[in-house]
Amino acid sequence: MHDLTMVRSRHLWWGLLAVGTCTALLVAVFVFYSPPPVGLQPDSVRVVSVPAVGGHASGRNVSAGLVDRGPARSDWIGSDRTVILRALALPVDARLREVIGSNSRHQVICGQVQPGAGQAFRRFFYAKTARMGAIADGGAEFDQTFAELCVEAK
Amino acid sequence: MRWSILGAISAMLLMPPATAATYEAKGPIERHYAADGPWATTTAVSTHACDREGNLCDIWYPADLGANPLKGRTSGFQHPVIVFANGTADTVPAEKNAFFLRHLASWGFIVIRSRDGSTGQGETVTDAKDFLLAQSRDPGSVFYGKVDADNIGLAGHSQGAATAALLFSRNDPAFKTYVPIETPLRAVCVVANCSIDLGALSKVTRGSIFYVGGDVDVISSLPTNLGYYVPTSDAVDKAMGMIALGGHTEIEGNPGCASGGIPASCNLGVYPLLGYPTAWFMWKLQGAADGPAAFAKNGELSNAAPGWLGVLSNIQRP
Repeated sequence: MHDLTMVRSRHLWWGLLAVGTCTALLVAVFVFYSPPPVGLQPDSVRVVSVPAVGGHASGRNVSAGLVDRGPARSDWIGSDRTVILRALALPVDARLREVIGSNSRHQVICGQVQPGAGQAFRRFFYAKTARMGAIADGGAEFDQTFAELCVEAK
Repeated sequence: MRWSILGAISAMLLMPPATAATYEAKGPIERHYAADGPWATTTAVSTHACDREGNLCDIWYPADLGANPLKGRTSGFQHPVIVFANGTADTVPAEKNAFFLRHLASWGFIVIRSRDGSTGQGETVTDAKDFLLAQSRDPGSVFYGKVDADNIGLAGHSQGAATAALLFSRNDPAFKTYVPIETPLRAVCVVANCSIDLGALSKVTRGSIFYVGGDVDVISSLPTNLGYYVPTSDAVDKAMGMIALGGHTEIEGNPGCASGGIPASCNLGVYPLLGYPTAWFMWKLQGAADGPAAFAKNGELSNAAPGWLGVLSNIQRP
């Protein structure tokens, strides 16, 4: 009888400990975890509102453009750099960096581009097969296409 | 409509992938038009710029202009025209897409394209058409009196396909029918200035259109082509088909894919594009009687799997 009471007490203690641990974990998750903003990659930078930049997308809302105020990462220098900039109607001195990666199966290059000095970096994708590309313009159509074409590159 | 779209998608998903990158025309209508037509062909290049951007024009045409072997005529036939709009390119060499364009000429068409590699809103496409029409009015031209100005079609590839669909959406009176091949995602047309107004597609009242995509072409996939086909007005004949295993540059095949190209961009060569696009133009521009049998709901194209998938049509058999 005594042994049985001891076993029950021990089970009760372990049970309370388990419940308490789970509760603490849940509280910690809710308190400390902040989900990334919708539409951003885990390694993406923060989103701020920026003035519209020039070029093809001027006049459209670019508040969803990505702006990197953090440490500079090295520019991407690939064999397709020139054709990508031309496809995006950007000057040859635009900065290009492949931060998302390329989807080799679809022959798509996804990354970020800075059209000019002091301007915001914006997401882009370039389809090698069509020699065409697009830059984030704040529109849902770009976001959807970017997600579809670049998702496997994450 | 909803069920037919679901059916098209389901058929694509359920269809086992082909094991080899080969293509074989299946139905008798496709086989008929995939073969060379009865006209011998020749090629010419304009001696001066044919469009406002200073590009030359390439022309493929029947060597014996005025004759129509299909109707047993040796003279007096005026040839329908197919204008072609190129995909994006820095330069367009004379031989680009030549196998496909010469094939069309072998079926009696005069085929013209400007070497513009950025057709955008279609100005140079219209210029190429006007150039040929001017030739048909010039007594010193080989095309004098040989052009059927009432039967002009427009085909295009990639950006050129978007240009074609864009002109279609504007009820352009110059063109009677359209075959956009590998029409790209709308998003890539922002920079290239070839965006198609989906709202305008629903208001089209003239012409006809046959959308051709590739089921492994991420730029012109089934959803992309559905995005154009579905809003297109039912007031005109419309059809859509996806080439199984079709990549983005099959049209550049000569006739097979060139070696060393971009992986997965050309898997089959130009073969799947020889039959049905030719049949469409023969129907719409030369009055071929087998058009409805090929393109109607449950017509030959609808049953052309495994070569063609995701086929949709609003065309009724007479």
